[in-house]
Amino acid sequence: MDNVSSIIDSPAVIAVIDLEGGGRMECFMTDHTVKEVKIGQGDMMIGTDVEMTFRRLFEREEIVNYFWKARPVRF
Amino acid sequence: MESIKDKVAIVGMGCTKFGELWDKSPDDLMVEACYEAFEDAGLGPEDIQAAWFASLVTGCTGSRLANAIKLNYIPITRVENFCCGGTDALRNACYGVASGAVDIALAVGVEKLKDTYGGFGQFLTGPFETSKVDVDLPPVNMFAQFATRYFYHYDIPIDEGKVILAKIAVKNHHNGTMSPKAHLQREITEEQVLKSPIISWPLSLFDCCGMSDGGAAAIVTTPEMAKTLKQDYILVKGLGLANGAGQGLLDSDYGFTSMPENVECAQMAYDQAGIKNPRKEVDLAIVHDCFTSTELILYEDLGFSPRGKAREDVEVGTFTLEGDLPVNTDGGLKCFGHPLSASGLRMVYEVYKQLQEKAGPRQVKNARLGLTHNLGGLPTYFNCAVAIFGREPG
Repeated sequence: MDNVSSIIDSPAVIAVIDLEGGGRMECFMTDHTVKEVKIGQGDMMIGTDVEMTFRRLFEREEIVNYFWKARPVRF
Repeated sequence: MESIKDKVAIVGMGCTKFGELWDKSPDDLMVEACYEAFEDAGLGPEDIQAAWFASLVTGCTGSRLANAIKLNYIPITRVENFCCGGTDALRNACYGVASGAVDIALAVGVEKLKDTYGGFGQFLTGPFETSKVDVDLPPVNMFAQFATRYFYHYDIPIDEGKVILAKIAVKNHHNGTMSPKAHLQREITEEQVLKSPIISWPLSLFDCCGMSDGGAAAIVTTPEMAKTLKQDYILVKGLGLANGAGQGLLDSDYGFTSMPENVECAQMAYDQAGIKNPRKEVDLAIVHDCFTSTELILYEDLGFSPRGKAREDVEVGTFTLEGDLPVNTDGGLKCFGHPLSASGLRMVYEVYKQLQEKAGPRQVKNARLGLTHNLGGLPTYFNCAVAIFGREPG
């Protein structure tokens, strides 16, 4: 979790995600509050189920870049 | 395959003060480090037959070093290997001597980070082209991931984990107070570490090393020639270098509780040096404490603590100056800061002084075998260098 990052929904929460059926990716989390993140064992959300969502990533000189982020599964 | 053990000797070393050296150019740092080494060895620039020059952002081509030291038309290779650059320059110089191609070689590492690209950080070149959509953040985020996963894996609550990390920071700062060339030379307390602002959770300000400028140099030769130059020359026992190929981001078994590059590299160096039990045989180690979480995991990766047991060793003070295996006796990156290509040779400088019993108030008693360790790059693409040095042959 990074408090000084320039990501649009700061603080940046970075997760290494193991995908169902194999494969792994490192990505940003979104749609969370810091409180929500600090669950699980102690203050960590390791082991939390997440799903992928295509979101706004960065914006520079009026050009917007989108990419996959992970969010906690809610339903 | 032959081992490098006892085939090369270090006969001279130099190291500048590390810090925010606004009033010194890279050339000044090279001159300062090299001339201390020349004086130590009783040699001059005219005696150097080949050189290896490590720099990431502080000068390209061997001519940068040639110009600073005025070396006359000898082969000089510029080495870039991120945080391993300095040790890799030394490694190449050692193999140059061991091959018989040259008798006396020079290894230099220098970096001025504070006034290059506005300091360390966002403008530093990464090892790869980024896709612009991948997670591309500073090193502290990556090493924070190792901390959270390590604590989770070994069932250590975060607040207890942070105390373990704080003890490492306090130890290194204590050693730094006895290290006149260190950038930061003051004691800190566990409470200060725990109350310092979070940089990347769970790592706080005092869990991170500083950034600084600095340079260091070593002169190597054959053991036969070393005997004619001085009595307290130091022998090279093992030189490991290992690069990761991104295995961890593909492999779901990669646990983020260990850095396989460290394990592979250390084994390479231990095999060369004939070390079976590093915990018992190594007398001191100067390691890459870029973040306290790195040093914690290193204790296990280098074979100093059993897996999951580094915490116990930290709690009983194994790695303090008075402990069984002192680590970062000079204050480490925590106190020297980390001018990338200079750090490796700065670590070797400390081991060299310790083995010669010239380390002053931080002297480790009866130090006969010392180890240095660097770690650069990104998780799963780390590059790691481990070098081992000894006082006596055999």
